[in-house]
Amino acid sequence: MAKTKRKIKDRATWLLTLYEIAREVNSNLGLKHCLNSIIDNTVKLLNVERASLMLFDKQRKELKIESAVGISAQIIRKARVKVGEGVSGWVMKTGKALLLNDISKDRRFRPREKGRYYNQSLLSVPLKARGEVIGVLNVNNKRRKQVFTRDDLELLSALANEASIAVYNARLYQQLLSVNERLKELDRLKSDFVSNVSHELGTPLATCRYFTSLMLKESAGPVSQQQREYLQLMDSNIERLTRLINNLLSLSRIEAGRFELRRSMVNVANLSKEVLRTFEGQLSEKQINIEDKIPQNVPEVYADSERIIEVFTNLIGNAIKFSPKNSVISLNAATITKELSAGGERRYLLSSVSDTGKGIAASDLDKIFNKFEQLKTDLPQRERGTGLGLAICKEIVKLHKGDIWAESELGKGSTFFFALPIYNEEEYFLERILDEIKRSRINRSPVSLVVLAIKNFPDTKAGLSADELLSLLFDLETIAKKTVRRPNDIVIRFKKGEILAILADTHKEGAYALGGRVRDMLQNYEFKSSRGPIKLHFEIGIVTYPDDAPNELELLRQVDKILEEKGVRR
Amino acid sequence: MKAEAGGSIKKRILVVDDEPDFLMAIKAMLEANNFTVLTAVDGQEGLNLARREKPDLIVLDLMLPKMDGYKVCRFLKFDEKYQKIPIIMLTARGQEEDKQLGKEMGADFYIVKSERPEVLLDKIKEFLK
Repeated sequence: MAKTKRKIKDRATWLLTLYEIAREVNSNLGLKHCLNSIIDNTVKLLNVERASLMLFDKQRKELKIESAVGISAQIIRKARVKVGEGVSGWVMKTGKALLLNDISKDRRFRPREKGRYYNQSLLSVPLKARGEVIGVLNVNNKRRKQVFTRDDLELLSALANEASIAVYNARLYQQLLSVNERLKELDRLKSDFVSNVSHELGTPLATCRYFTSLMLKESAGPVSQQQREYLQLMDSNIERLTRLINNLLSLSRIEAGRFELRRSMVNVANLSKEVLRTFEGQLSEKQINIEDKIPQNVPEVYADSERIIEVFTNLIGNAIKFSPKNSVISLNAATITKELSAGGERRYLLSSVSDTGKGIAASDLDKIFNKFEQLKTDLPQRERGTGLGLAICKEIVKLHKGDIWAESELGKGSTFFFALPIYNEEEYFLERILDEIKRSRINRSPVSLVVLAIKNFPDTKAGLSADELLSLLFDLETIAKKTVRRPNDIVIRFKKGEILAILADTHKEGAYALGGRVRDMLQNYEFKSSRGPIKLHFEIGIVTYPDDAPNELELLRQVDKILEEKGVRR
Repeated sequence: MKAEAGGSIKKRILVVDDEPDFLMAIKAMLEANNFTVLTAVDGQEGLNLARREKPDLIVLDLMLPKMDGYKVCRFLKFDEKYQKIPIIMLTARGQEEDKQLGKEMGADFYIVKSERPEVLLDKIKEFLK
C-alpha cells in the first residue's frame, strides 16, 4: 500500500516536472538554457549522480555533450562519440532506448576506463525529432546504488521527448532568424538595385531631354517640320521613361520601408494649385477647364507636402489623360467625420478630383490601385501611364494613416477621393514625437521634450476672465515659440496651461539650457489683467530620448509623470 | 538677352557636374539663352573656379568627385565674399532627404535633374533678374 502511494506521489512529481519543462520549452527558445533545465530535472527526478545530454553534429558525424551533471568539464569539452561507438553511439545508431542493469555483463559495451561507471546500471534514450535521431540522453549512477526500472526508462523517455522538442524548436527558430535576415538582406539589395539603377538612368535621360529640348527650340539650327515631329516623339518618350523611373524609385523606397515622411502643417489648396500650374500646357492643349473648388481656408493637415503633391499630380494627370477634349475637371476638399473602429471619431480632410471621362467599371474600381494594373484603354502607348501611379498614391495615403478610393459611373466620369486625418492638438503632438523619434533613430541623435508648467495654474485661472486667460496663454505660447527659434523645434500649448517643446537633435544639457531660457522669458513676462499685473512662475521638466526613455510611449509616460508631479495633471 | 539689352555684360554661370555630356547640355542651353558658362567636373575644381571667378550664379550637382556638392555649398555660403552667389542644387530624383540637407547647407534652390529643362532655366532667370 505504502509502495503504491509512493509510486503515485512519484508520478505526480514527474508530471509536474514534465509540465514545468514543457513550459520552459515553449517559453524559452534559448537552447542551452533549456537543455540545462532538462538535465537538472533529470538528475532530480531519476535521483542520479550523472546525466548527460548529447546532440548529434551532422557535419562532423559525432555526438557531443551539450549539457551534463556529474561529469568533469574536461570530458564535457572533449568527449566525441561516433555513431555506433559505446552506449550513446549504439542508441544513436539504433534509435532504441537502452536499460542496462549491469554494463559489465553486456558484451556490447565494455567500459573504456575503470571506475568511470561507479555503478553498473545505466539508462540511455534517443532524442528524436520528426523520426530522426538527433541526440542521446544518458543517466547512470543511481543514488543508493539502486538499479534502474521500467518506470525510470519511461520517465527518461518523456524527458527526452521534451528535450527533442526544445532542440527542434530552437533549431527551427535559429533557421527562421537566419532566413529572415537573409530575406531582409535580399529585400534591401533589391531596393538598392532599383534605386541605383533608377539613379544611374537619371542623368543620361536628363541629358537626352536637354538636347532634345535645345533642338526643338532650334538652338542648334533650323528644324524641318518632320524633324520637329520626330523630336517631339523623342521628347514625350523621354518624359514617359522619366516618369517610369521616378515611380519605380518611389515605390521601391516605400516598399523597403525606407520612405520617410517629412510632415509639416500643409494647406491642400496651395498644393493643388501648385500642381495645376505644372499641367497648364496639357490643360490648354486639351481645352480642359479646371473647376478648383477647394476653399483656401481648408483645415491644414499634418502631411508631407511633396508626397501630397505627388498624389495630386497622379490624380490630376490621370483625370486629364482620360478626359475628352473640352471637358471639365473639378477639384474639391471638405472636412468629414469618420467613426473609428477603436471607438470615438476623427475628422478627415477629404480631397477629390473628378473628371467626366468614360468612367471605370465597378469590378475594376478596387483593382486600379494595384501595381501594374492598367485598364484596357484606347490611348496610344506613349500616353499610357506606368501602371504605378495609383499604387504609389495608395501607399502615400496609407503612410499618412488616410484612405484613398474611387467612385465612378460608366459613361459619366470618375471621382478619386483621398482622406487625410486632421489631428487635434494632442494627436498632432503625438505624431510629431513619433516623427522626431523616427528621425532620431535614423540620425542617431537625441530628442528632448521640455515641459513647462505654470505653478498654481488653477489660482491664476480663477482670477482671470475667459478672454484674459486665452490672451495670456496665447502670449505665453508666442514667447516660447520666439525663444525656441530653430525651424525643426516645435512648441505646443495644452489646455491646462502647460507648454511642451519638442527639441530635435538636442541632448539633455542643451534642453536644460534652452528650456531655462524659455522659462526666464516666460517669467519675465507681465500680463496686464483687469485686476492688475500678473507674474507667473513655471516648473520645468525635461525628458530625453533615448537616455530617459527607449521609445515614444515611455517618453510620453514620463511627460505625464512630470506633469503629475508638478501638480498640473491629476 | 535682356541683360545685353540693358547694356550690361552677359551674366556668368558656373555649372559643376561630373557627367561631361550633361554638362555640355546645360552649357548649350544656357549659352543659347545668352549666358556665359564656366564649367567644372569635380567639387574641388568647382570651388576653386567659384572663388576665382565669382560667377553670378552656380548650378551645382550633388554627387561630385573629390568634394561633394554640399561641401562646396557650405564653403561658399559660409564665406562672406561668396555667400551672395545664388546656388541651385541639382540632383537625381528620390533624394528628398538631400533636399533638406541642401537647404541646411545654404543652397538657394533645389532642382531635380529629371525635370524639364525650362524649370532650371526659369529659376536661373528668376535669380538673375
